[in-house]
Amino acid sequence: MATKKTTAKKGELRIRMYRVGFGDFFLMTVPTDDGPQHILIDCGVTKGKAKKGEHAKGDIGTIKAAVAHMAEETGKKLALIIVTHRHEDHIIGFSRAAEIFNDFKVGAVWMSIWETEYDPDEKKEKKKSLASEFQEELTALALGMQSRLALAGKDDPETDEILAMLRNATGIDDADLAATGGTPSAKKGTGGGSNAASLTFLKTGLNLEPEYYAKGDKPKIPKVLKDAGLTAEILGPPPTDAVDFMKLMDLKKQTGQFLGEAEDANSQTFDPFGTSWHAEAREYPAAAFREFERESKKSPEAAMEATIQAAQPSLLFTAAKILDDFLNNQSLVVLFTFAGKKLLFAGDAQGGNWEYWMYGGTPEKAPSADNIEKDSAAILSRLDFYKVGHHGSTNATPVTAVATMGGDFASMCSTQDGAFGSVDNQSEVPRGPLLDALGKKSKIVRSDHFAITLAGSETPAIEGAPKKLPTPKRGRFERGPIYIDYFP
Amino acid sequence: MKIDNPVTRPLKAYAFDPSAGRLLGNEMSMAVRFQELDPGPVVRDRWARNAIAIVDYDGANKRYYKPVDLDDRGILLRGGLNPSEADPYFHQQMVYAVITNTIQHFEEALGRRIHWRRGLREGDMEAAGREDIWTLNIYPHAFVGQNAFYSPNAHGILFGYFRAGSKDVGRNLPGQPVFTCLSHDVVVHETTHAIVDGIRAFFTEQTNLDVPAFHEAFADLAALFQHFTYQEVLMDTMEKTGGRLYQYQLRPDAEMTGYDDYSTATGQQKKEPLLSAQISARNPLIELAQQFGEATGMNRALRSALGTKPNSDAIEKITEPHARGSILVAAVFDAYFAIYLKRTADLWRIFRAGGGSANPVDIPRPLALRLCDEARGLARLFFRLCVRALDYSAPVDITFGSYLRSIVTADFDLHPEDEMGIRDAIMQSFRLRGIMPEGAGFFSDDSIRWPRAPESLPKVVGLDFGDPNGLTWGQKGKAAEVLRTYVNKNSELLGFSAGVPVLVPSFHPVFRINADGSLRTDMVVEAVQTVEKDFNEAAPKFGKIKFRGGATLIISKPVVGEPGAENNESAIRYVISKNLTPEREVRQRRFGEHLGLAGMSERSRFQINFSMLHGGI
Repeated sequence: MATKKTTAKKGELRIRMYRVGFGDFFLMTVPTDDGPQHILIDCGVTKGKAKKGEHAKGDIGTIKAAVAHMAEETGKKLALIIVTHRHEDHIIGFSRAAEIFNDFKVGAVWMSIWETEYDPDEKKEKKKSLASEFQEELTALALGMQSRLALAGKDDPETDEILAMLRNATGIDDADLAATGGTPSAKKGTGGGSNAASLTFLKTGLNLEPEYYAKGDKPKIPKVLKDAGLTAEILGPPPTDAVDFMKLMDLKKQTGQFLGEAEDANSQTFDPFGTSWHAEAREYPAAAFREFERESKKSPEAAMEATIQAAQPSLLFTAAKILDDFLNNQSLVVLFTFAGKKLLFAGDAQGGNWEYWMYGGTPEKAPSADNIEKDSAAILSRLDFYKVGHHGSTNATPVTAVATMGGDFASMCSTQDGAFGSVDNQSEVPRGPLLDALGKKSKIVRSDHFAITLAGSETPAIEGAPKKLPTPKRGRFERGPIYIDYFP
Repeated sequence: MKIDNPVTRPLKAYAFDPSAGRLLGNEMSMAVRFQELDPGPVVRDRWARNAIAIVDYDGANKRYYKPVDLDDRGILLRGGLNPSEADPYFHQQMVYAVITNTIQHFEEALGRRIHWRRGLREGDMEAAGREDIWTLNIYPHAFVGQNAFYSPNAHGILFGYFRAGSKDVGRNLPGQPVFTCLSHDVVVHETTHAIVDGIRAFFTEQTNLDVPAFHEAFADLAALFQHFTYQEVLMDTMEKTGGRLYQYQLRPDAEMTGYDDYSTATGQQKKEPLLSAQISARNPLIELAQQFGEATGMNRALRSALGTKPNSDAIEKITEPHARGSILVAAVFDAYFAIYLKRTADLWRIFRAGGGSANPVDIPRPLALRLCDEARGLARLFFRLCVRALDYSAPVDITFGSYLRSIVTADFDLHPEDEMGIRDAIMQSFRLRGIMPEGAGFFSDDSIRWPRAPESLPKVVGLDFGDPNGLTWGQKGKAAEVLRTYVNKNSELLGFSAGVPVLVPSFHPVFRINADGSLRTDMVVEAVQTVEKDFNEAAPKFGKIKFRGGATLIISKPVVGEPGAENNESAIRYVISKNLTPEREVRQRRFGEHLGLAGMSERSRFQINFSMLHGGI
């Protein structure tokens, strides 16, 4: 496969963002005496929400080609793989392109503490860790919700959004679930691979034991990278906590009503009293509807009825969002330092993850801490590179962090417009105001802003994309056939 | 010759919920304030500010159910319909009775009539007017779901109904319909949210972590203290716990003897109940919504009064509103039981001196009655205290720490001597759960109380306090003018920030009886100022927050003979403030960020969404 190599000077650090759609696939190359050494940070994509019959925008179908390109670039040798968390858009590539990854030689794997299989304090007995029980419950819950919704076959924007989030959590295609009545047959995602298969590969398929980290842990940097001068600090996630487990159990109980035992997934309603009790609005005095006369003088009853019908809260949506946040907050957040450059990779960390390392605690522990901890402020105010969290969603880069960030750095945002959220309810990903705010502090490149020219994977840039790459204050961006490079 | 209406109307309801069956006292009769009613029932008096209307509209099935006429002779003569799960007339009756009863308790405690939510008069006045709730609508079967919630948007309270699960459903039948409107606790809880929303307009704005937790705690407290007014249940529990009301388990009707059951396999003696009478029940007084909890597979009640033990660091870890609220509930109940034990110590001494044992299994009925009187009286007192503390709270940004100070101040105002040691008990039980008095200098009674307003503060001249029936429209208009002028003229003296107008969203006279039996009249006034700020100055596109500061003024009506009485000059006794300080601003911003509210601009995003809160999600 012909590849156009970017003009890397000898001894240059390089960060490469592959364009896969809505997902992260980053390759950091560190110059060493043994030649360039590569660190792979996530490899995944998810298709996002899609109306029935429409094409989902998130997956542009290029991940396999990107993996193949990366394989050639690295000679199938990686010093380190970092897997920030187990969402499909960060790990599916490992199983979707299994035939390529199977041949890889890898020096080390770093994963979030939440991926720990066994209790580290009970090595003899091999007791299951709290974390792994949590992950099982979470995945089972997500699968349960996803099956139910897939079977229900509802067609509305909210259901599409929920299904997209759940699909990301399970890595299983809901069409598959719907076709098999709720039990995924091949347990695969659309396009191949599955989260479970990717995790199995990463944990057992590389002939090495991954390292599981939380904030405060000292990471074991592969010797070849350490000798070259690379250091790493683990900023997140917060250590595992039984409180999180309790929260998940509570969520499970609450969503139980949606996963119920009813045969017919569509009819939760039932007549509690029988037809002899049915009545009309006119059997009530006019005063019963007086509250709605301000809404509609002509027909206050209709206004009231409409309000009640719409009043039932969208608990399922919120439950799916919470599940999504649980997983995002498990993200491994790594700050690399090389030759004095600070490079922050934040995975999909949301508020809770950031708060822990920025403030030294969450609001209940440090409710009025207005000062970001000195160390954290020092990191943020003098950045060289920032991998934009969660594909540019609002809550993945807290406003306070943006305000503190400085250093005229460069940012890269791997995303695909239209895959999640909507402008109408100000939830679109990537979020306009966030990118504007980041844009004041850094030069940002979005993956969907440049066209892929690699033969067989041609994909245009999205509408309205700028024609040229920005020029960062330090270093440079360069365009490749299926990626953008940043040389700090 | 016209016969006067009665003062009360007898109506029946479940003291707990249908699953408690006919357990002593579960099917209770309530003497509810008499009101003229139309079928629904709907309160006929359109000018009553605390009116309710039961509108049985089912949003899931899109139909109405027949409204009950509580003036029907058949119902009147029976003293209310008998409890029945299958009869929607009874559901409507129960919901009406329990809500009216709850309103009554609050009005007694507050010393005035309550009113429902008033829209915030800032900006669009018409929209604010549409938000006003004049009559609280109650929808007993509004939707299918394991939820019930107060909805300002629907101008009322919606109750869900659902089918119990197939497993672990306690005393419910698998798959049976369960109606949240038949849970006394749930009805009181939701009504409390609506009442608080009427008292403190800004309390639903999520400015800090304690706000949603406070709402949940306060509503749970109202429901729990209500339990102690049910005489039969109180007596039964008193007897089955040997006077130890704080115990979770009740002594069963029949003891296990040890000869009940043997395991043959291991030859070990196993103690398992043979009879249902040997199964010990949970103490209903200190548990909430047992049927709901069991029907949703929790295998226990929804929450309990003593969920958080002393010496707990839960306050630093727990953020979920119900769990966090439980900390406050446990703190209040810990103090309640401490005083109960102190007050009943003499009774126990007399009992033991008469030959009674130190840890009795059975207690004589006269002793049980006296203990019940004490328990009930104290519950009334504590409930009153918790409710009055709202009047002693700043209008915005409630926290557990400031609520503690409000409780202590409210108690001091009524019982300066604290003969019962209530304030000390409260301070201790709060401290043991990590709830610190916000801004207090020392951990002592006089330091924790809100300080009295400085004597140098100018008096309010010409304020009309009205009478216990409330202010007329004319009186209200004049009083509003006097108060608005006063707070703006003296805004800096009152601690407000210069250059920002001060609004007076509410004021009401309060009539209370002093410890010496004399009547005292106060005016409780909310004064609030608001500034709109960027969520983050560096990033104006992230939307704005409304940052509010406010003060509750407690103004005393001058007593004839006192200085100032001739000229109608009223002294301000308390100015309880949360000013526009940088610390509060940071805390509100951080919390907003924690909730993920940055980047959106519509105002309602900062409001508590009770439907989500009660969905447990």
